[in-house]
Amino acid sequence: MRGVPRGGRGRGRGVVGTGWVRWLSVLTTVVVSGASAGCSSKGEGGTGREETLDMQPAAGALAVASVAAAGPMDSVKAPSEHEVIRVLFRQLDRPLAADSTCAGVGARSDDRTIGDFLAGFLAAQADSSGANWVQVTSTRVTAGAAAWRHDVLLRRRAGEEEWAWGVRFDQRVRDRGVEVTSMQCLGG
Amino acid sequence: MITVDKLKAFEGLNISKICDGEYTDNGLNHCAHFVSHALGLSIGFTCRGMTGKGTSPASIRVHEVFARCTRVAEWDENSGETIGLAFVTATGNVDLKTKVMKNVPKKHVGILLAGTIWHYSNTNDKVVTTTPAVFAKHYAGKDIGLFFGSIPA
Repeated sequence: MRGVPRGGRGRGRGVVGTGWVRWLSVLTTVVVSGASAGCSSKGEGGTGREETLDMQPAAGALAVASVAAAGPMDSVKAPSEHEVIRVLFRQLDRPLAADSTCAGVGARSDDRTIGDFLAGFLAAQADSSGANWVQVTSTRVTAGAAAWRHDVLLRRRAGEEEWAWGVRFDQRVRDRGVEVTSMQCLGG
Repeated sequence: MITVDKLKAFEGLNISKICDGEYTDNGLNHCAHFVSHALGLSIGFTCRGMTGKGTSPASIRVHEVFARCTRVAEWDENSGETIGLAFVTATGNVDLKTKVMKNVPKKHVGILLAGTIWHYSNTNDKVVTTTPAVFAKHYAGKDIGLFFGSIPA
């Protein structure tokens, strides 16, 4: 299939077309959520789901904020692309060294984190030639604790330049948390 | 041992005829994927790592294959090399001393044998063959360079 990409090929549910616009939109949402730090706020989409902000001490006496959504996930219906990407945005500080699939995937030699890695390929999508998009796929994990497995891929097609790079991680149904050891880097 | 006849058998094939692991989306980069299936390379992350399927996991990352070549060098038409891998990317992405290629979007690999390079054309979605001179122009730009790598053991 050529022309405007449809990320929904196969199992994927693509965010179609101008992926960078979608990214900016999502980023804006996350920033807005972060701005409500210290409070509890209603979840998006009128679900009434409450979010709380946890302040966790980290090395160097820095504090790292993470927004943890309360309440279990739907175990039948996959979460929205928005939720998946928002959860991913909370994992950007994870070190690439934590998983062998992430070794050396950074586009720059000083890339150290998942955020660095994704930034490199997002930057490549700043080229408006060709087509750029984000593909989000969620599948139910059938073994072990109930969870959703998410693949988030940044994709680009411009002549001979075709690629998909991103991450895979498991999100627990019971508390919406990410399984720490599940984060993998995908792509080739 | 790879032979011209074996490589000719791949010519014109879409990746779906080469990989049984269902990592066959035509919108993906299959250059390292094809090379690795043809040569039996299972280095680093593989097609089976992506899909969880397939009987012969093959490498899909150009920079991981590059790092495992026993010898890498700038391309030299007069080197006398008749078999190996051909890599094309911006010269600034490659450190020959450390055998490190940055994982940048624009990088490509093919198999050199008998003066010809077999590689997977992502535009045509099939295996093609070409000369080193044409392969070196796979990407536009004055900073693009061609590199040789001996086939990983």
